[in-house]
Amino acid sequence: MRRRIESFLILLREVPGALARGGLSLRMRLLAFLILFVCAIMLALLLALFAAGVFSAGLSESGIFLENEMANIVRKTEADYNTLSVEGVLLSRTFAEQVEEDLAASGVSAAEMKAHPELLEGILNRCVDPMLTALEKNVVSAVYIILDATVNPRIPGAESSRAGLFIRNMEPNALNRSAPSIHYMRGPISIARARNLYVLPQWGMEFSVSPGDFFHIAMKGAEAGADVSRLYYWNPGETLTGDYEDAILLCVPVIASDGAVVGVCGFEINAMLFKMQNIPNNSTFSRVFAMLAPIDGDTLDASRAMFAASHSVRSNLTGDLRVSAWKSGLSSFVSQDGGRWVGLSQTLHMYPKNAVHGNRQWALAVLLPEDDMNDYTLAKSGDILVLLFALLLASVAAAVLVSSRYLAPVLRAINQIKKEGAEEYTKTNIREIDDLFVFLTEQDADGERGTGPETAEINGEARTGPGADADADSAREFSQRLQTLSRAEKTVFDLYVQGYTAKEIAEILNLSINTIKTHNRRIYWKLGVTSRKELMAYLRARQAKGGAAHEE
Amino acid sequence: MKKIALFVAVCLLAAALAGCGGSNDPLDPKNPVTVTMWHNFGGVMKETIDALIDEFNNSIGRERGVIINVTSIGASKEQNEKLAMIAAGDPGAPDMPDIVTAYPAMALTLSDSGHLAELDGYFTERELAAYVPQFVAEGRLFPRRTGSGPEPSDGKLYVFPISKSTEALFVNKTLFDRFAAETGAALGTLSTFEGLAKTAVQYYEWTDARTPDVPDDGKAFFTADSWFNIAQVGTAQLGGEFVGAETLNTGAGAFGRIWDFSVYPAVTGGYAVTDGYSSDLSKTGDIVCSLGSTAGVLFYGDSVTYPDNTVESVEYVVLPYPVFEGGRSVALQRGAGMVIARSDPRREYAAVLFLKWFTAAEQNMRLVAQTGYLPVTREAFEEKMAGEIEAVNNSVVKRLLETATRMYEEYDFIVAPNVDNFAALSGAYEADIRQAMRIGRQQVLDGDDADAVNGKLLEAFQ
Repeated sequence: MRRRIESFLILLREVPGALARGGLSLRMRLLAFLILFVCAIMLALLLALFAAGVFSAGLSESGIFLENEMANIVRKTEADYNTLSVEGVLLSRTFAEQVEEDLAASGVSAAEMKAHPELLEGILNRCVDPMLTALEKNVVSAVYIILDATVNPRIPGAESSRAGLFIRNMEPNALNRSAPSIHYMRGPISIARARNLYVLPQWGMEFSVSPGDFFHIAMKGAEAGADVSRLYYWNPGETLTGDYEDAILLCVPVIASDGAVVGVCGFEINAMLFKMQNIPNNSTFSRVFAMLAPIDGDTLDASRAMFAASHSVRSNLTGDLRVSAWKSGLSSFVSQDGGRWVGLSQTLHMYPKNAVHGNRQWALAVLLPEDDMNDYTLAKSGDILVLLFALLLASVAAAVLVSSRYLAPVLRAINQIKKEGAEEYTKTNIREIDDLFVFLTEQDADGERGTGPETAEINGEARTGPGADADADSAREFSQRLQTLSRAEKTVFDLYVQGYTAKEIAEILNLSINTIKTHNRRIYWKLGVTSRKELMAYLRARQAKGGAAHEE
Repeated sequence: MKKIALFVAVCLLAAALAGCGGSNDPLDPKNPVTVTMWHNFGGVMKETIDALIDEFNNSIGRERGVIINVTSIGASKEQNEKLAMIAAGDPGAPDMPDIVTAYPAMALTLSDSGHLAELDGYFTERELAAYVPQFVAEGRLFPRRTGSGPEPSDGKLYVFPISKSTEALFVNKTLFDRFAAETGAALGTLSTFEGLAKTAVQYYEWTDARTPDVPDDGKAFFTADSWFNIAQVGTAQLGGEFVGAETLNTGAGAFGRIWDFSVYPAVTGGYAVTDGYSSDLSKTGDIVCSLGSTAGVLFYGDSVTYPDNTVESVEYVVLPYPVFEGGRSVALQRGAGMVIARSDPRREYAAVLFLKWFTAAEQNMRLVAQTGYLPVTREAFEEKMAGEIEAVNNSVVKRLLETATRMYEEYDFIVAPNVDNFAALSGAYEADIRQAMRIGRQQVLDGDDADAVNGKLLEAFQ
């Protein structure tokens, strides 16, 4: 093998020189032809694989995976959130009736509620039962009500303080929702103690609200005067003041029969619940995640998004995400700091027709880091590329081997002709080469018969040996030399004299050609000639001279 | 020929080394394993835990191929209920998480049902020696004591310590100073149970006297998160053992002192009796001090909210666990550890890798500084604590760590005994003594003599 490689390298080194001399060896030509052929086949194979989409299979598979994941999550999210919207509207109507009844019992109208803080605790206490029922009925992390009033309007900061209740279910995903794990986070502590509710460490008596937050948006939206079913608002992910976890809030205004907006109620879906409900399958892409975010044109607001992933996304992704087309129907998502993700996104239907907040768009996206996608597709097509490269190497090696073996008999024959002459050839069983040897041998024989003494004259060596001008002394010397031949050598010599070829002599004597060659070498040595051709020329000259002498 | 032999030898050696490496590290960064986790670090502690988990996932987790995925953050009670369902194989029970916080009692239940991985094999002796020995010892599970014989001593490690706590006395110094200014009460009297009881009664009388025209409207001074723990530790302080093989030693002489501390001030109004946590009452100024876990320090906050929604900024001090007069300084060692679900070697290895990282001194001290928990490695506990206390910004956490460190120098610590019906015994005691306190309080309000009520209730209780 090593010899073959060295031979191949030598061959390659010959190429520039051969080209400069204006000709390539036969082996080089054959090799070049085979390699060209192999390359053409490989190119055709590559084109066929490209056309068949083999190299984009990873991308296609990823696209299908992302499509399926997104379709499932979108379908479930829309169904769940629309159901919650309906439940929220029903809860709002229940609260509106109760608040109105409680106020009326004290001779106070809904619009006058703010001026009667002493009534708030009683109102809130009656709200607890519908809230607990709502927690049992719905898969939400919390239910809340915020009244547009505070228990103490006289203290500093009262303008941003609102009385209300916030009751959390710590295990909203539990199969048995009839016994929710209830904890109390906002509201008068007396209510929690009277009802033996666990109080969360982040408990506070009232809600802290500020202009532009979910409370004010929902309150302001209610001024449109539409039916409450057209007034609810989904607040994007943010952390409630004093809490520790992001959450989406459904905000439904609570509107009394006289049109007075007395507060806002609704549900919370916190980050853990969102995650457990929507986490995509991460068996293929460990860093895939789902994201629910407000969308404005081609920009997703990741800072207010909810994420569902087996790892934390929030720490790596904040701010806006610009969406643009990528490859194979997928989209590219680029953050302001240059982070890149790929995936799919779809706008959700979160509001009914003619909803006051219907222009606030939400999108759900299923994404993964662009690097992960590139690694995956490269890994998918990399195997095929490696295979093709190995095939190419194997083909080149085969071309080297074939070109070498194919030409070996020809080269051997040429070397043999160079060394021993055409008449000493060994049959190769390759018809063309054997024909060539026969042809060359016949050519030699014709030459010997036709030229005889001239040939001897041409041969310089002949002139130094017994020549046409040999005298009687030399004839005597030749006769003496003939005497030195053994019987077997004499037999062979005689057959040569009769005009048989070495091959024919071997057949006649039933000897191998190699034995005949050995006899030849000894005959030449003893007679002082260097080849059969010289020997035959000498004999013909002797015979001619003998004949002339007789004629004289 | 020699070259070929050398080449073959090198190949064999390389293959052998590769094989060895593979068997030691079953993780593959290109094919990460997702490890699910439940914990009960809620509220402000959740942020710290989340940040640590994020850091792990983004560093060593990514390098080695491990993703920690928190799938539940619940209160201990709810979490224990779910784990009990898993152990019992109840229909509808959730899947066992790969890592979960658990106390030894629950861990033993899970271990008995074959749900836990034995952890000794994942640690070298040197690695385990880096942890405070008594914390590791607490995580070794033994068959439950059902008789009076000695406990077996071949327990294996199932509960890995991640953070520890003890109990201490949290005092709202702002309210106490107001009381002390008029009555001469001193914080020093709270170092003994007897002094605490006396001060509680005094505080009730002082607050009651502030509205002479409204009878019996005094305020409570104290409450405890666990009256059972007081009985358990108090008995140990007085040289006894409260929890027997199958019953509680309520007939022993020491119990009379524990009862007098627990019930007499309660029936006279000096203690608050609720089913919630003491920190709930502290937030509304309904008590002045309470005995609770040092891990709950952040739940007290730095203000008191009154019913009219006014908020007062207050200062808390943390005092060592009180000791009965003449008793030994004994306190309770608390704190859940992490257990790992029995699964496959790769998943268990990944879970252990996280625990090792999570409890390394650097991470452990961050947890300590931000939550008030005590570290579990000797390096963190013995060498870094002093420096870390200096660097803590939160003054209450700082005081807490100083107190806890002092307690670990001066106190002996006991852990909850491993008896078969411990949960039932402790739960029943807790319910019964609270009921006795409520009944007695009502009787006193109805005009009965407090001493007589206290005595009758003790007789009935025993």
